[in-house]
Amino acid sequence: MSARLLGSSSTQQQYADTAVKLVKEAVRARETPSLTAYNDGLVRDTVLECKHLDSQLATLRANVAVIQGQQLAPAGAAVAGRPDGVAGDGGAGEGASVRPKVAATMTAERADAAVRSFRTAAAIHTFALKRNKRCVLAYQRSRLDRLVEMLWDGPGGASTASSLPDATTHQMSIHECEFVDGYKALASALRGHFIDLDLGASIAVPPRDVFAEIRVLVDCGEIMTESGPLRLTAGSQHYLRRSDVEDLILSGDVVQVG
Amino acid sequence: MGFEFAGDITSETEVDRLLADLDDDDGSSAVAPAAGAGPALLENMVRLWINERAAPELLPFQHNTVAALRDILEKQQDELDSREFSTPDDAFIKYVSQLELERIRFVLRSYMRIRLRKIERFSQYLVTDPEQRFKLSDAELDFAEGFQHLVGTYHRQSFLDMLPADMQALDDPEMIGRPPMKNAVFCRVNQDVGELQISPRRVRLVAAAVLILATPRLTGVCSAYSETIVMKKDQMYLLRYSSVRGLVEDGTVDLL
Repeated sequence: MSARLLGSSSTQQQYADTAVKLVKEAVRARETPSLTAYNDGLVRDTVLECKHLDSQLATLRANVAVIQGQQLAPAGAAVAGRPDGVAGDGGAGEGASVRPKVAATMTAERADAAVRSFRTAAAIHTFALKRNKRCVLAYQRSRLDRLVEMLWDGPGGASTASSLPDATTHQMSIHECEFVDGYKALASALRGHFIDLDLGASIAVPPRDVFAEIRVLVDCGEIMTESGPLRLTAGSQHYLRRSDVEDLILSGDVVQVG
Repeated sequence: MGFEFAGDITSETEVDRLLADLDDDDGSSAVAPAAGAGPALLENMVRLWINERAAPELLPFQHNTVAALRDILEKQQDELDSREFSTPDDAFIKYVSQLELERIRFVLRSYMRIRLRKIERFSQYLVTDPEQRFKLSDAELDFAEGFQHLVGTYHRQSFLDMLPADMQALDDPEMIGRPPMKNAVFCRVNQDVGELQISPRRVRLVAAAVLILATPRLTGVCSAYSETIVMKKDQMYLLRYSSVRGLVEDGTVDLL
């Protein structure tokens, strides 16, 4: 994978090094509690490298085409020359007919070698391109998966009402924001088919209690409970149905006590 | 509460028995659909849920079971909400019933969410392969297609559009993520299967598993040279998923 193969890249770097950095970042990000910033710089560098590789590839292909064109022309000449030799089969013409044949095969060998080396170079460039593409896609997809996971685990459970913490939204690219909005709509539509099951609720542990003793930390306004509306003011304590306050517990406005 | 109902989510009888008692008390039979079919249905659902959780690929959506169970849940919830529970005993019955309903909902919710995770992971494969599409419910298919579209748009806008034109494709066969069908899974045999053909490489895996996990209940013993194993009822095996795939789908083998 050496970039020096064709002396094209300025540094000692190898092709796809930049892209591999992205993959390493994605692996590291799995360990961190919050989302890391979208690394637009590295993605752009990779795109530049891809463009460079693509232009190199075009040059290589052009070279191969040129050589093959040249090769065809003399071969045609040699074949055309032969009947002449055969026609003048007196014996004196023999030496003259052999020489162009040798010359033609020698150039053909050299041309074959040249074509082979160009083809090898082209293969390496193609692999580097594919690798780059794959690395960036893997990096981006790992971020999307992370965002989806955060949406489901957060308050609101992946619906149009759900929100991500500011620490996360600040790290997202514009396109990731668009993805998140689209995903919320999509998940809401799906949840609409299963309202009775409340797909957004936690699936970490099976419910052990129908009710929960909670203390209100932040004023939450009025909520609907099975026994009517209830005003949650900061500092108050209530014994409520868990499913009624699940979201508030997740968002941290309310804590479960006892 | 001093009662530990939490450990046994499959104890389907609790709520039904209590509700049945209620019915006997006042002579009405409003919860009739739950009385007979309910427990078996729930047992089946729990089995399907565990299978879905253990299988590396998406299993066909169990439309009938899910729909029937949701139906019963709704009826019982209505029943519970409309009844007067005045005495402490009644209040306790209501509490237990409510908890049981919540726990059945949990099973269904978890089932759906596990499926969603797999659908997202293999969305392209599921949407493009005609055979796979049948495994999805209508709602899931809409979701999978929408998700696939979102991911594709995101990749294109933030990366692929900047690449040379012949590099922009997202649907090369090698780029489509497929379920790891060769993953090893634990399974229990529900009824005698007879001989199961497995390839030598898989046999070695089984043999190794038998050595490591030579517990009395893991009775599947086979020689490293044979290519078939005889599966009998109640035996447990550690096998590659691909070799028991068909048996899981027709219910003769359950995953653990």
